[in-house]
Amino acid sequence: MDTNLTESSSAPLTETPEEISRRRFFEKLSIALVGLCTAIVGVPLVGFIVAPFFRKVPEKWVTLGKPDDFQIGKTVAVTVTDPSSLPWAGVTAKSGVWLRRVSEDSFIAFSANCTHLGCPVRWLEGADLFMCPCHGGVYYSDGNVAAGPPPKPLFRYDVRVVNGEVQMKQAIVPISTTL
Amino acid sequence: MIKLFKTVWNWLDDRLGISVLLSPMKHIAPQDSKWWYVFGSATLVAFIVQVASGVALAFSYISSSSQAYETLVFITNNAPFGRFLRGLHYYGASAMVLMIGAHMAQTFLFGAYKFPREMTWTTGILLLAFTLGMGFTGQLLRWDSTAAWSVVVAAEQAGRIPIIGDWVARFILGGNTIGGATLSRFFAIHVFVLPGIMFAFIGLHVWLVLRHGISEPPVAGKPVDPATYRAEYEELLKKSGKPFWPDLAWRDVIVVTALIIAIAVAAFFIGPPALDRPPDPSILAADPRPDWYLLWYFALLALIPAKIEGYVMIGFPVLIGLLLLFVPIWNHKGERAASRRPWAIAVVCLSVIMIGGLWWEGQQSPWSPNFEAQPLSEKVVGATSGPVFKGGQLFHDKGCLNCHLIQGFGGRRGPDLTYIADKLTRDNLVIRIVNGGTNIQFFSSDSGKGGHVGSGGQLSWVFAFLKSITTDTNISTCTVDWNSSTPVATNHCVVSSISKSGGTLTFTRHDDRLPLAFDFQQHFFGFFHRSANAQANCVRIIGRCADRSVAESGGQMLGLNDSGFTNDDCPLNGVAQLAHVARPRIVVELVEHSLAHGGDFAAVLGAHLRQQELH
Repeated sequence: MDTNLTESSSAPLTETPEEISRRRFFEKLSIALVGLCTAIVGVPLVGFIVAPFFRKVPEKWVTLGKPDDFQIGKTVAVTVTDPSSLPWAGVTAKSGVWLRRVSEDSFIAFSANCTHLGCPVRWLEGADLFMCPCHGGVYYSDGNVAAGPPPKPLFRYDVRVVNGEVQMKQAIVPISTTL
Repeated sequence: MIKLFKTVWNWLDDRLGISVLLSPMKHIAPQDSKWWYVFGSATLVAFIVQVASGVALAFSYISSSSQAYETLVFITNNAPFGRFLRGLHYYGASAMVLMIGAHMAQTFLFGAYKFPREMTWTTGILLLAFTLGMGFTGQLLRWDSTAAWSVVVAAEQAGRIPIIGDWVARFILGGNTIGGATLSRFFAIHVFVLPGIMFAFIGLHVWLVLRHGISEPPVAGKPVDPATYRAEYEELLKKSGKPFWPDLAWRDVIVVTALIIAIAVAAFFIGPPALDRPPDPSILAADPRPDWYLLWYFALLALIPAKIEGYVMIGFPVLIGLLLLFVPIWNHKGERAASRRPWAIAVVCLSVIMIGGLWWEGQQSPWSPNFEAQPLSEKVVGATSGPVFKGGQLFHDKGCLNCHLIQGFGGRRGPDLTYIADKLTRDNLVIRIVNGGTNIQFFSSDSGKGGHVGSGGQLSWVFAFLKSITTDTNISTCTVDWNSSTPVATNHCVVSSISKSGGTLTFTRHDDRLPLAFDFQQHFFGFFHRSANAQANCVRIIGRCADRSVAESGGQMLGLNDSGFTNDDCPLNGVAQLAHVARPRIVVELVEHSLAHGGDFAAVLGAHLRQQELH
């Protein structure tokens, strides 16, 4: 039966110009409708998936602590919670930054992400160095590259002291986009 | 009963077309398709294992960033067969990667990608890429600290893609940072998108195998000619072909059975990869690493020069992918036999060596600092106070030990510095430490950037420490007559000059590197006086040892003979034996050992330490 159907559908047809025109019309109509259906379903679908591209995250300042919580000349890890996180983010809403108190009123907040491939750098107190466990990137206490493959210094977040609080502009993962 | 069963079966078969569906299993294949041809079936079965175990795991796994880790802990520790299933899924993935690699190598060596099976090969290459994608996304679903940071690494790598890099990176992260949207998209990709695509491509791949037939084993001197190949192949099948099922498939079944048993045994006895800490990005003590099948690429990125890294990171996978995809386009005819295609053997061997070598390097990761480096022990430093001791402490505290080895302790990121004093002069060593060099940070005290070896005193301590460890192959013993007004070494000795002033004996090493002086009379004679042994009037100096075994043999000599301090083979009465092995740790070790019998550890240890201070 399958064979017969195939044969009949592929058999040459004797068609009048009107029939050809009608056939072409339905052919194009069907293709157009399929395209429309695809767009109706596909546009929101793709939009939903790629939404993170266009998601504007408002720049928010988050409090890291009071100035007295940090000793001058010391670098410490501070946990920051993303204020824009989704409710089910759980512990992944947290992130870590390295905060260095340079002087009485000067702070530097370093991203914990190595500028090489994003691994978390660790602070070695005695050595006054940041080191990356992945490929051995080393940074000085001011974030500049000391050794290894990192192409850039550690990313610095904006920091301010307001109303007796040390605040940092919301943490994002800095992406190195240069080859 | 049997008649009823046959009736039911015939009805179902007629309505469902089961026999027709299974008929491809009986397609005719070359009878010489033997053990080399089992890897494709093994790959397919490994994939089926993955699907089955993955579906089972999904019954308990929650793809939420906040809960996935807890569900994995539950699956591993509490759910019946959960640990086994996780293991099955992990080792199934490993088996699939291995089998696909073997299948690919066999196809390449047999020239089976040539006409008319070019697209069979191409779809196989795409399946390899999807498999690796499944492996990577699967590792991320193991939503622990390593997985979370691996997402960041993946995003950072994607960020290097020209123009769209930042967008792709944000897409991977599910936003600007890891969060609630991160895991669920990898779950969707791993569980729905990639498997769906793989089902389609596996179907296409198998269809192409059926359409073009299983390639016959190559014969040297019988090249593929597209004009005649199909006719020749048909003729071969007519002449000597056998139905795949069951004539040829039994080998596949045996190998597949062995594979499944191996996977199950590994899952049961070794178990799944351990979960790291929770995926809390504020835990910065993480060390993200890919699973073994991508570890070689991780190593490659660590070993290539930084200047070209970005290009390699993006370009290498693309280049390899394109090469593999287009191999059958530019090499679709001619000889198939590997014996006539030595370059094909070379490509496979070099690929295996390269991937294996990089994997091994990735396992070792010598480029990673050792964050677990403990302070050097007294045995290694060889002193408990003084410049050498302080230098040894600084070597750890300033992070040197994270990257450098000293006598096997420390990191491997930088060169082994155990014998650096043999290679560099003091000036060069100081220049290296202060100014830095290729791929090392500088430690200038006034750099203001941290990492400095503060004062000049600190620098000299580090220097003294490094200087105290050298390879001096002049293993020698000399005996000095203490009673002589001008002490002279009686035989070849590590000392080039000896002087005596009051109770202080000073010797200078022949290479002028390590002058020693200590109050011999005060410390040593004091000790020996208090001991039951006779007064020492001779000092024996044992040269430093080039390796531990030699040093220890000296130690055994002394240790076995605690009276050796007096009954040494020194021709004089009352011989003091000072084992100044140039590696101080040996000295302390020996002295301590001997003094366990001698009864006055503190006195001699003090003498030794004084000696260190006088360096």
